[in-house]
Amino acid sequence: MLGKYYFASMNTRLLTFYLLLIFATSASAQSIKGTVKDVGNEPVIGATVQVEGSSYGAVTDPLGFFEIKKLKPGNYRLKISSIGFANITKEVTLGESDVTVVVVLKEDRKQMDELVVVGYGVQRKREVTGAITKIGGKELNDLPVPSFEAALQGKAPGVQVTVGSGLAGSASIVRIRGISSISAGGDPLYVVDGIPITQDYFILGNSGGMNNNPLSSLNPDDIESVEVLKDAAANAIYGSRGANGVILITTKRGKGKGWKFGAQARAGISTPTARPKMLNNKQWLQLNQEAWENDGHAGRAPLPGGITYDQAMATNTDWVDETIQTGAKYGMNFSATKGGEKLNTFMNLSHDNNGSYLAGNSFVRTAGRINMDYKATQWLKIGINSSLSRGLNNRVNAGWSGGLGAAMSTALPIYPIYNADGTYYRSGNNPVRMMDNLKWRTEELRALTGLNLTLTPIKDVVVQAQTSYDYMNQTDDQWRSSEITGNANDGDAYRGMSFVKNFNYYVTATYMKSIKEKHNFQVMVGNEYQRANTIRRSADSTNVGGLFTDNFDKLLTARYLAQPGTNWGFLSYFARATYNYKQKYFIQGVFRTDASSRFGANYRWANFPSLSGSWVISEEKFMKGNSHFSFLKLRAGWGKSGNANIPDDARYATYSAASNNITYNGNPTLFPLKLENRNIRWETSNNYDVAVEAGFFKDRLTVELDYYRKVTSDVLMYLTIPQSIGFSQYWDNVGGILNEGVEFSFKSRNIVTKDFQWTTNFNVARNHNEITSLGVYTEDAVSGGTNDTRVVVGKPVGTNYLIRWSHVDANTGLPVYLDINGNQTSVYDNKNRTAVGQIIPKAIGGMTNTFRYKQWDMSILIIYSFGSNIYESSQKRQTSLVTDWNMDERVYDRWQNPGDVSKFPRMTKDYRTYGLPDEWSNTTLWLKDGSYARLRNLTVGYNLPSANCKRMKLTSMRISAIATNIFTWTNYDGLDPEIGRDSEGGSSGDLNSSRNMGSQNITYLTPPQEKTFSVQINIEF
Amino acid sequence: MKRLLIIGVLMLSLGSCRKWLEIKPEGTQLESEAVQSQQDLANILNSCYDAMANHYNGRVQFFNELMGDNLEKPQSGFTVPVYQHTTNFFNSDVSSLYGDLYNVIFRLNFLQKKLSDGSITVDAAFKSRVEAETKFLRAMIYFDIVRIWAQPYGYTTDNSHLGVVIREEVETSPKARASVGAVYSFILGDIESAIVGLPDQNGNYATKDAAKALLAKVYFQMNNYAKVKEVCDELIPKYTMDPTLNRFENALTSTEKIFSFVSTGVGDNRAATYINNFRIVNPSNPSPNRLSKSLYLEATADTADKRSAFYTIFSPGDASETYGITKFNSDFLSNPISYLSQLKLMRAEACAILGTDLTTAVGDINDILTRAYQSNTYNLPTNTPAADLITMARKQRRLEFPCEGVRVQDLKRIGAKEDPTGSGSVMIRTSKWNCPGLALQFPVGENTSVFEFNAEGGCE
Repeated sequence: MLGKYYFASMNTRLLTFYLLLIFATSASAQSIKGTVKDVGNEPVIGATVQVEGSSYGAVTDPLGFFEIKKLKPGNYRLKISSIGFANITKEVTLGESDVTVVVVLKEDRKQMDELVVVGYGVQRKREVTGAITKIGGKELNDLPVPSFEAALQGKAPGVQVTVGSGLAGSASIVRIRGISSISAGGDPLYVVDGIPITQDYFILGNSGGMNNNPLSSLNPDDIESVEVLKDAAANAIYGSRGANGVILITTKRGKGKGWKFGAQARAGISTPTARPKMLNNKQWLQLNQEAWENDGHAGRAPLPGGITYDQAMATNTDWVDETIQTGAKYGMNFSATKGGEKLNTFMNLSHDNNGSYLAGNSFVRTAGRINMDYKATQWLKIGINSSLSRGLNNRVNAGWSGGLGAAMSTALPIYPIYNADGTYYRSGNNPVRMMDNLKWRTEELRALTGLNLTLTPIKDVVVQAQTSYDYMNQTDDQWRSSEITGNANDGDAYRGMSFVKNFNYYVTATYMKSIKEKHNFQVMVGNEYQRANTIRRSADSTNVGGLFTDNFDKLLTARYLAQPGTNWGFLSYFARATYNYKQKYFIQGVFRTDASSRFGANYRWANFPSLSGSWVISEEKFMKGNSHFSFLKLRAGWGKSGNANIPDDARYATYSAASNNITYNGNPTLFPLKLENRNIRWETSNNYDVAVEAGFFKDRLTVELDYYRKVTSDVLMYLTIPQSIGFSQYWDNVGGILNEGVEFSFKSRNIVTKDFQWTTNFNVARNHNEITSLGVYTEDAVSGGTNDTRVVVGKPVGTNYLIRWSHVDANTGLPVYLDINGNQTSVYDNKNRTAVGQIIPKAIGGMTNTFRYKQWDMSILIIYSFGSNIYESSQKRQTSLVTDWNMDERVYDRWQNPGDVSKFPRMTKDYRTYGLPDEWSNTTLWLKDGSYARLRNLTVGYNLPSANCKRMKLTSMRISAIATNIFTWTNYDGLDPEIGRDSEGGSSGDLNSSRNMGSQNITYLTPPQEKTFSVQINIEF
Repeated sequence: MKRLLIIGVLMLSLGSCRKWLEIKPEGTQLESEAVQSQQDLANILNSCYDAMANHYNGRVQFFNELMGDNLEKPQSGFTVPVYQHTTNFFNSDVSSLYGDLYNVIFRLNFLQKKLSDGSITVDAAFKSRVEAETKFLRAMIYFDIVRIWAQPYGYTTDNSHLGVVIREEVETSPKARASVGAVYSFILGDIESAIVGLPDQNGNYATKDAAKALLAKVYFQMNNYAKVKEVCDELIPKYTMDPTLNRFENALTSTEKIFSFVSTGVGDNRAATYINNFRIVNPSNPSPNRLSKSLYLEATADTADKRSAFYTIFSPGDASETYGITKFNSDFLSNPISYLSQLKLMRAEACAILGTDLTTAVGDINDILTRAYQSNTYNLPTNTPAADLITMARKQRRLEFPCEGVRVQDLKRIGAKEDPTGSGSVMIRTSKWNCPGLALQFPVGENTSVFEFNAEGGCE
């Protein structure tokens, strides 16, 4: 009831406010009206138009429009000024009727006057009171990445991007200022042109060694800019969704005058950054024999897979060669823009084929976009954003699922691909057999459409309304031949279908007022609702000659099953007020109240306020004339943000289906499936941020230093609970997490001459992450998959919690562990597990150096990550414990004779030799230093001289060669220190826990990153 | 026009409705939809029987047998540490059983809550009966949980040693373990309450006699033989001995049946774990789990005993010699839980220990022997001394109930009474009856600041 009254009261107050805004207009007399634009024909927002020698003046609205009323006939001199533009004066003669003028301002822009998208609006960088990093579309398009978020790597301070593994179309892991959640999602909110897009990483569960990448269908070439909102002053406007930061993506729009066209073509290859060095047949046989004899046996060691010794000696299959390829990458992009007085249009068509180095694996995206802005009247602008895309992923198994993962594990070099009679070898793992007899492709069709109205009903008031629909149809098609199924027919087909409908609208009203150019106010209020629904079905059939796509008749007669989907909604009201005095002192307050269907009535609504301010010291008189500082700003902010990324049914008790067909004594049964938690509520973060921004030497050097502290409470956890409760897992708000850190970045134009320029962009971020409380629970309350990471109070999220390995006993060749007190022991006991490492780095960053010499340019991006550990989970089966796995060459550092000092113990075929309960020992022997620096990108480009271009009737032409992941500096002795693997787990809660605590820096046969080389041609005309 | 449009847009923005957030999760059945009527509660109760029929299909019994001396060490897997008395909190087989049993307790507690909170209209007879059935089933489960995960009754003189967590209502918080004494008091309370509310006849579901038979077993485990005799004296006259040697063939229809889970066919087989563990598919190959030599020798020492025909030997004389049982060689079997033979042997031992009514004790044992030998030739004389009666009753329990999970708890009961200090006079294989590893370790999920785990190891 309380919520209802609160809601009604809220509506009434907002309605009153809206109406006051609308009717607070006065009667008009003769006026000077006009529009202020830049040279690109874009409206200049917030420009001051002052009648010289009088108090009359106005500020332009988002359409660039102004009106100065109540003027008598006469000659006037208008002074038009706007930050980032040169001042201009214009003579106007006013007669008996109104006069309309058009003013064009020329840019005089400094870095601090750059426009920044802030969520439901735009601010100049100098006005921004929160921590926002802007990355231009050009910076993103430097790298030939299939998904734009991978190109953010190393470019935004405090933003950690771990690119998905070498699998085409796999999801990157993006974490902003650490990890502030455990079982709720840790990914930022992605908002494309104001639309919070569908971002379900687990729509396909965990299949083939990868999770779904919901961002892969966005075409990087469509992107004008990406803004990363990092602190609560910036992201409180997204309230309940902002705890993990917000990434705003703005797509390109038509501008300028007339038509402009652009075309891009690129081609390249993909190879792995590292190649697994597995043993060949003779090496494996020799070590297998050594283990056998070490175990006290005589004679030849038995061989797996029904292989005789002679056959094994004669067979040497290099399964790595069989499962990798040189991947082909090529793509084309064609864009057209048109600017005009009334209509601006941007169109883009692209086709990208991203073949990975995994045999048979590629991600193919075909995408089209049309963005249009139509200025219908002086008070109405209509904008349309519309994109259609098709992402086709030709899937293969990898990691734990097979393919290259099999080549690194159970596909032994002594196994042949084919038997002597030409049939596939079946008695052991044969990934080629699997590849040849599995057809698998995932197709995602996506339409992202928004309609935006911008209205200026009265002076100083702007109303924006946007409605959008994000529709996704994903089809996961698989077919297995009779070779795999063992059924004597044409094979079995399966189709998983997901239909995602994501509807969103928001309305905002903004009031702007400037009093004598000193007091500048802006108040914005708004309302937003989002509703999303995913319906999932599966179809399967036997005796199908291939994929359902090619056997539609079989699809019609297939067995259909309903699968759990999603269904949720958010309702929000928000307000933002900003005030600045003389562009010197800025203060901003934000308030958002959100309701989510995922929470019960008692906890449905939550408030997310923020307060922030900044002081542009360089505008003070005492700083004027300072030859060093071109800009100096202090800013500080506090705010709350939330996280509600939990399953829709987390709060409910659910029951077996009404028709479960389970009977006892002939009578029906009904039983609970999970516990209810009526008290589950928002995970909330309190954020504090203090920063200094400075520009030196006319902005030749700009520097930003941020300190932040984020305290998260009511952490949403999918707990492993005492089973005496009746269930083993349960959603609850437990404990707290602290993230605290410093970010530093600079941009420096080191050398600027006519022919040669050198610029450096550098950033580094240090984050301290710590679980501060777990209530009554202990470290095993949540695990990050494969028994590797746990939650430990006083340690970071994703702490490696392992038994400590001491050394190999030189006399016996047996392992020596450490007990909980640090004493050496031969007993492997899980009670001796302790916190020994962390998967999240202590410091991350990147440095880009760009050189230009005449028509040539070169860009070098180095990224780095320090202070993390890698847990090489699969190595426990690839070394001296000989099982049915192949080993890699590192095994040779093993104990053989008394007195040997070695890394690995004596070879054995019996895990009990090492005192283990099974083959899956988790010790620090597999824990590695995860620090690395990587030459992420090297681009060399040549820009055709403009004279040549003119001859060819081109505006510009550029040819570039791009190489990625060329070199890595690391102590890690495994394949690749940048590890972004799939999330393990049996349910959505597990998957998110695993994505936060086990996807980065834990490798289990995870394919290494790809190294690419490509050439690209860009032309504009 | 302009203002109308603006106002229209703004009014639209305020048209949001609280119902927009009342969104049912896709593809689930919520409790509010599922549990609305008396019939729904009846269906939940039926699911408790269903789940228990699956957990007591030889599975609960198998964990007991693994700890005892009737089986050989399993070939591999997480049952090996159970056999070796070395379980730790990562043993998924152990945690799975523990969780499954407590899940039924949750259902039973939920039923009790719904019966009493008035949210669903139920008739008085239904309420009384279902309350009693839930208490009976709950007591039955707790009796096994406390015996598997805690040291036995009598391990300490005041039974203050740690037992298990008692959940008597729906709750979601971690909880400390109650003492063994408190757990047994709770079990007795549930049974007494069930006896009052249960009907005399209840189809294949729990009856008054079923609760009384359970009561006799609990008292037996507590070494409270006077109470055992009292309850058995009341029950035994109501039932007659069944001549069938293998009670798994006809448990549901047997004249001995007091309580049995319903198992009607291959598709509704509630003896699956017995069959999966011990069935000998190919006469020349051992079953997945094998019997111990000590059981084999004791059971086959006297070939006149017709029960000896149930046992078989593989690779005799070879180093790999091993032993099996043929009682479970079937596609499906019925599943006896409480029956007359149990009462007879409990009463016989109780009388012998009490030293009173030895004639009854002899009679009870002879009923078992007469069936076993299909003759009264091997019956005990009426003047058999009490000590011999005790020995014979215990021996017959081992021979009558192999694989039914009785043996290890008998040894623990005897140890608590006859070797309270753990001197070594009562051994379970090579382990003292009270060594730490003979109480299985709790699952890692119990690892909270309020919970104390069992000690590990300590068994030879």
